[in-house]
Amino acid sequence: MQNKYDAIIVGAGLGGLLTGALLSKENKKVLIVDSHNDVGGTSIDTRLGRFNFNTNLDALFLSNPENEVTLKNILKLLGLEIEFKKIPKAFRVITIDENNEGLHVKVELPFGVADFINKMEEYVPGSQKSMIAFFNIAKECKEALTYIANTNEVNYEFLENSYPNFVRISNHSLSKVLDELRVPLKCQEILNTYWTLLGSPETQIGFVHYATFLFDAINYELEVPEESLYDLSLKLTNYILKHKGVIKLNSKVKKIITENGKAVRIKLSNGAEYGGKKIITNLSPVATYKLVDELPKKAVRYINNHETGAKLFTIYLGLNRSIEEIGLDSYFYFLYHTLDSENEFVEMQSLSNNDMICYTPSVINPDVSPKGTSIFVINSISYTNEIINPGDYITAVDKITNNLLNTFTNTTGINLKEYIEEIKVITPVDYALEGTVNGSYYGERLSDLDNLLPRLLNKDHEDYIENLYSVNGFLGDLYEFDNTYYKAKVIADKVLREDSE
Amino acid sequence: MAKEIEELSNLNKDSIKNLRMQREEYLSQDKEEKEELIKNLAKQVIPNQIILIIKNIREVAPNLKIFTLESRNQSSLAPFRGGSYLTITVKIENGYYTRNFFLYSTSKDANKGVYEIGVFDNPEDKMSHYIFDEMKIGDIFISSHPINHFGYNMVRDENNVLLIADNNGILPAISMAKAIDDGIDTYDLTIFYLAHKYDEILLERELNDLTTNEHINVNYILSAEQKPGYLNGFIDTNYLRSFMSRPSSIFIAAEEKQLKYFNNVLEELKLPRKYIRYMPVLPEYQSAQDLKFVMTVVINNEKFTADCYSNKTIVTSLEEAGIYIPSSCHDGTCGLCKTELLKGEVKIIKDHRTKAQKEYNIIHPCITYPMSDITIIIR
Repeated sequence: MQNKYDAIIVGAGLGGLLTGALLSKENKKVLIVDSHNDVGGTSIDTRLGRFNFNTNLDALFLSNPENEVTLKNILKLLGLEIEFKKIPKAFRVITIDENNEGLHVKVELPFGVADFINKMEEYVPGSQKSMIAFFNIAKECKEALTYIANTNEVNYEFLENSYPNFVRISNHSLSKVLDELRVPLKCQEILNTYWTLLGSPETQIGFVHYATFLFDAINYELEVPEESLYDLSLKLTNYILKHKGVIKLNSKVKKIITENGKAVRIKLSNGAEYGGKKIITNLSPVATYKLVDELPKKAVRYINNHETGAKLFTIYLGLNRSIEEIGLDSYFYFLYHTLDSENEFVEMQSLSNNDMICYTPSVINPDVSPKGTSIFVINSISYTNEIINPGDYITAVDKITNNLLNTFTNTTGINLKEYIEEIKVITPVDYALEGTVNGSYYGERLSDLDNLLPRLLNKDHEDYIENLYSVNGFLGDLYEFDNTYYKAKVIADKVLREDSE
Repeated sequence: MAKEIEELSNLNKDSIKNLRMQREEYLSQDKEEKEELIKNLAKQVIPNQIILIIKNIREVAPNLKIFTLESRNQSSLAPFRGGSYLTITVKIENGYYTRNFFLYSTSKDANKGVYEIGVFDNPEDKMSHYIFDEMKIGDIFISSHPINHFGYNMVRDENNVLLIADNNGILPAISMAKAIDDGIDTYDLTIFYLAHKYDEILLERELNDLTTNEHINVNYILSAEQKPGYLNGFIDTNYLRSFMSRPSSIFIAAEEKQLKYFNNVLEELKLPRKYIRYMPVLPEYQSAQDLKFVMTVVINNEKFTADCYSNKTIVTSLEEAGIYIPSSCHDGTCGLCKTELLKGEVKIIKDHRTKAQKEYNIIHPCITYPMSDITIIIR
């Protein structure tokens, strides 16, 4: 048995590194292992020709300076700085017009609650009253969640008195509560545009979650980091090493070994074992439990009672013209077949022809690529479990890519193909080898009793293995917008607290 | 304290109290384990490592052998695009060597469990020379899944492709043509095969067989010999233009010397960069003096020392010293060999590192040459 660490972190993604940095800051002895040859997890940095494709091109952050748990503020604790640039508009959503008949709906909404409500009134006259109610309730939900997340035992009487609307909403779906609030249908459809960012349709996602998410985004506005998240991971690595932390790359964890129901050490695929007081994974809880040598029955059931979340098919494009020449003028393009998310969800069980979330990083940061060029990112989401014959995989990827580009052209009139100089495609298959459960970029799907509020209320009862924690970018275990970073802070604080007891 | 909204009065305010218990009950249902179908597919199409057995070796020229490789249980192998290569690792004496070899076969063969690669005998390179000379049927390769940095892409490229290749690039050129012949890709391909003399042309029969497909054409250009049926001289702008009656993409698969010549030709064509694609070539570099240095390598807190040379990449010196370092592209793009330089001066060819990589002295040893004694750390 090698020497004992205060914490062993499985996975050197941003969540794992941030946790490691926060712990090393307090002089904890940290070991981070990762199966890859480099740190950064899914924050890739790929150079193709004269283009650099980074994950930060489409990483969204909340620009709320008062919130202590944004990435920016957590980094300040470590003496690290990172610059951000604001996204100009909340979203542009366009319905897909397969046959190019000019029938699409095109709507654009601004940031800022008052501006948002006013613009919505222009699109849907008579929506104002229900929109004001929506944002008031959203704010109440945010406050109630903050209380629940920070309390050891929920006082229901206090909840009922302080947040009377919140308790009535509890676990109702987004669509149910919007109906009760008599939000006009067209207004609901526009309001639900961000559903693909959480990966569950209006009938499944809890109102509480979606409303707080949207409130945060609209009220505080969104921004993206100016430098690459990969470079940030190098900064964190450097911080950890300087604080005597150990990082082992090319080290795949085969098992998390328990003794008497407590996680005590990890075993690598080369047979080496390392012991730690705490074991923290940079994986989803399901992926974490799948590594444990002896799982209690409860944890096995926990795994099997989760649905896999949304999967991403990502296309990075290096374009050989500027956005002005091409005609790309929005950061966000949400391209949906219809604005009915439940319908879309049902339609998205196969890999092809799905809804798209598109980003134009060049709109806010012309420096992401050389002068006279631009970068465009398409994320298409699906819930596929489609079995493709391995021999047909490459043809299938090309076909899907081609269809998505054609759909974008038919819907917006912008022929991207004319400008493609470099292209990088990342499929659910690629994500499947990156520590996700079955290639789901979104982690476990949010629906019914697997929504944010029930997860949060039961959080202290779902640690089936003592001394084992999970820090990850997946949505819905915690209520903050900057999920990964918030989790890193929460888990680091928890470990430090338990260590001092 | 928030004001109660009348519209929500239909909803029960007590349900939140039961929510936690409902969640507990929900999580304690007995359900079957879900199969990870996408993960299974990932293991088939982008496996981390493939063990391949040499089934046949064909000498097609004095300096080129085609190795037929099979998966262990003859199961289908990962598919690939025309123009891909395998990164193969072989143990020679005390150490592991890693090099790339272009695939000569197509995805259709992979589906049947077979890859073919071409191996050139390069006496200056220990590994290719060893494979060419020493390895025999039944021996085993440890390989990556097929990797593609050069080849046709239907959404990016025009469907008229002009491919200029010399001996260095003829294997990916043939593999691209075969993918058309197999019906995997649909575009028109014209190969311009550059050679000094007729005798240097490789795989001519195979190439000519492929031209029976109406989408594939091959033109041979001999620079130092006249022969009936073969063009003599060099490719110039007008000649290329005569093949470009419709929008075309130009692919160049040739050694660095040829590239310099073609850059001038392409400049005259005034084509946007999007229409020109290059096969990655190992950067040529020669330091002013051939010097020997000491390299200290830290792995797991243990220190190893070995010789390194101003005219050899750090990866090459590590391999010769028997110190394993993962590597693949050998042109500084894939990042597999990324290492921290703790001490010493180095020369980096094609430096595309990010701001933070420069700040923390992260280097790609595959394109980095020592200029003094150095210390690196492999984590």
